[in-house]
Amino acid sequence: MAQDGQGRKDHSRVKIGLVAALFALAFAGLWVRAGWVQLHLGDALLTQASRQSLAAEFEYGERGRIFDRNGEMLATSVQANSVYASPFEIADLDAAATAVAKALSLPRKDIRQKLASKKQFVWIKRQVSDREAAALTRADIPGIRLTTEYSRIYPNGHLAGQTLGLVDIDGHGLEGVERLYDARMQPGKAKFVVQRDAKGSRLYLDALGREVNINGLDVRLTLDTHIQHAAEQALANAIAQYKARAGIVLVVEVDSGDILAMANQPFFNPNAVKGSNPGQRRLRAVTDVYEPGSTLKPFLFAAALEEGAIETDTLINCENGRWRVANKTIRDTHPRGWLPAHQVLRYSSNIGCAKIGLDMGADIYANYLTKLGFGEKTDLGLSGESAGLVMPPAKWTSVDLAAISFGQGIGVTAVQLARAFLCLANEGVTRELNLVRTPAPNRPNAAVRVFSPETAATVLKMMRDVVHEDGTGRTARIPGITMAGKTGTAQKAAKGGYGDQYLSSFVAMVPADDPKLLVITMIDEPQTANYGSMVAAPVCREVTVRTLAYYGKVSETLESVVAERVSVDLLADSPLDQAMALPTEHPETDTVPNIQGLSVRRALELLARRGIVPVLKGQGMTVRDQKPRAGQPWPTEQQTEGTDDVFILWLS
Amino acid sequence: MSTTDKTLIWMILTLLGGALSLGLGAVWLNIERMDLAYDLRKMEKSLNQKEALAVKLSVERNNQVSPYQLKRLAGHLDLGVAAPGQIRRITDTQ
Repeated sequence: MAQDGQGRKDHSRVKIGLVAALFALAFAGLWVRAGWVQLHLGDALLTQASRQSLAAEFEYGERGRIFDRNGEMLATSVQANSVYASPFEIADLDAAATAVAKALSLPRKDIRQKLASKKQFVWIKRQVSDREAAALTRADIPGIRLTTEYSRIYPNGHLAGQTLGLVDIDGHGLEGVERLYDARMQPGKAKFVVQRDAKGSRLYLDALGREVNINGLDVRLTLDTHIQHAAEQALANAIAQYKARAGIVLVVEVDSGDILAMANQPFFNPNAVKGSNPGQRRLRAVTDVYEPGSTLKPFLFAAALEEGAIETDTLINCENGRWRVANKTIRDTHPRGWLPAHQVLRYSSNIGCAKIGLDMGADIYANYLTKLGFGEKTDLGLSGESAGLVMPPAKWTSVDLAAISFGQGIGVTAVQLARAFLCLANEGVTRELNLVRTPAPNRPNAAVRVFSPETAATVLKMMRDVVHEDGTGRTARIPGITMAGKTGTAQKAAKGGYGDQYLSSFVAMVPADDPKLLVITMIDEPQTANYGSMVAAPVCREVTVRTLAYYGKVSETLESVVAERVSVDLLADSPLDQAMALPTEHPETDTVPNIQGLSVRRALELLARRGIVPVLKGQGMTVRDQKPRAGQPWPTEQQTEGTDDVFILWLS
Repeated sequence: MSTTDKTLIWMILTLLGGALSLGLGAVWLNIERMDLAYDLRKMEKSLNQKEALAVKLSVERNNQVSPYQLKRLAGHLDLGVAAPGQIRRITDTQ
């Protein structure tokens, strides 16, 4: 220990040493503590910290969409808010109930009851509108929260409503295509980790778990919205006109078996399930079994021709419209005597058909019906499909065989009938119906030849005569195109026999010699008329015309033989066969009339009558302005186009 | 103080300075990361809202071009389905 000049001892070095030792001890203590915390307690503390700062978050995907064959959207899911409550967080129950009831337009009493619950979580209202959600957000009620769900929307309303089906509030398919492809369209769930700040707000942490596509897979149908609409419109008009109970229209593309339209009346709007009843939701084309009546007769003729039981000109005695089989009397609507076989179909003689059926025998005819698919479900796979009703041939009495020969005593669905006619249209080879394009149906090629091509062609020729000769299907005739058709007017079974209600039906195939399109119409219990030729045939005609027009295949002429090609020069001189009648509401005047606000078409018709071809300026379908103005004299021929246009229309 | 001691002191000071800089850098990066996380969250929400709106607009579009709406519009404009005999197909005769 050093001493200074005055003999005092210098303790500074000791002090410094002590301080250094203290610091060293403190640092060592901290070091050891840090090591303890980091190395020994590290994992546990890390877990605790993660629990505080990280949270798991779930994301639910969107249910797969449904499209038509052209990619038009038929069903999709949109985000919607659902309202729930955490009742234990609500301080003022009455005030909260009042505010929620006002925002959601619900009875206050019901809301208060829910908010008074002892549960931790209570749904208040699911899938509310954006307006309601905004009102609730503005109200900012403690304990009332919004969460996001997906609700199912069908942009086309009731278009193909029964075929599309419906989903429940949790997005599970219950009927139709929604049910059939529920597993495919079901969305997935993704879980990922997010960070939480001190307030509990959630922050982005990393991309893990976000890259997976959790949306359900889409489904593309074979339906075409425009043809479906045409079918629904025509059907609805007929149902209203004849005060019928229900109806079905099926449109099938023959080359592929694709169902282009499957209309069912009464309509069902899947956007408004609550207001619907089971009768509206039923997809009648697959669920309802009808006795087809005369529309089954072409198959009898095909079978009989194939078996050699008849030739087209075999004479058959139609007994002048009245004939007894066992103890039953069969009647014809149009009594005839002896008829060649092809005219039996043309005039739809029940007696003639019964005789052909009895000649052929039950086993043979039943075998053909089975091969055509009657009595078994189609492989569309839709829920509720019926297999129809076909008795075993061993149980058929002579009366049964006679009745089945003209389409009574057998139950078929519309899709079964379509599949059977598809066989006739496809040169006698069976072809399955398709409702779905994507996913492509995975099935083995089970095509079976039922009839020879010659037999199929012969029956189509007979069916052509039904429409184009003096047959029962004349009302379905379309100028410029050949059609093979068959009417059906089936009595409906009632308690103890047949009642006074009918099923009117019509089957059309165009063109007759090589069908590309198959249209089936069934009108159930029409009241003001019964005959298929009156009730169902015009529907088929309208649907066929609209479908052909949609595809641009409507005939140019009104002759059935339309393959001719006319030069453009000749066309200029030949007026259109069915040129539109000129409107009468704008009589000719000495001065230029006011044509502002008219559609372009009307304006052009009006001016065409004066021999004027106006210059059109701008785009649009309505006339916005005109030159010369209304009231001025008609332009003279001296005026030339260009700087001094004869007549100008500005469009908007 | 020897040259070696001086070098040692400089090295220690440099290391301490480096550690401080790295520490400050880490803090700055963490702040930036949090900012970014807030921004990303906001953008995520905004994207979700826009996607939801896009779906709703596509539904509206599909409703507007649905056959029922088109038919009504066509009716206003005096347009209708072509009947047989009302169509001319002009083919090249050359």
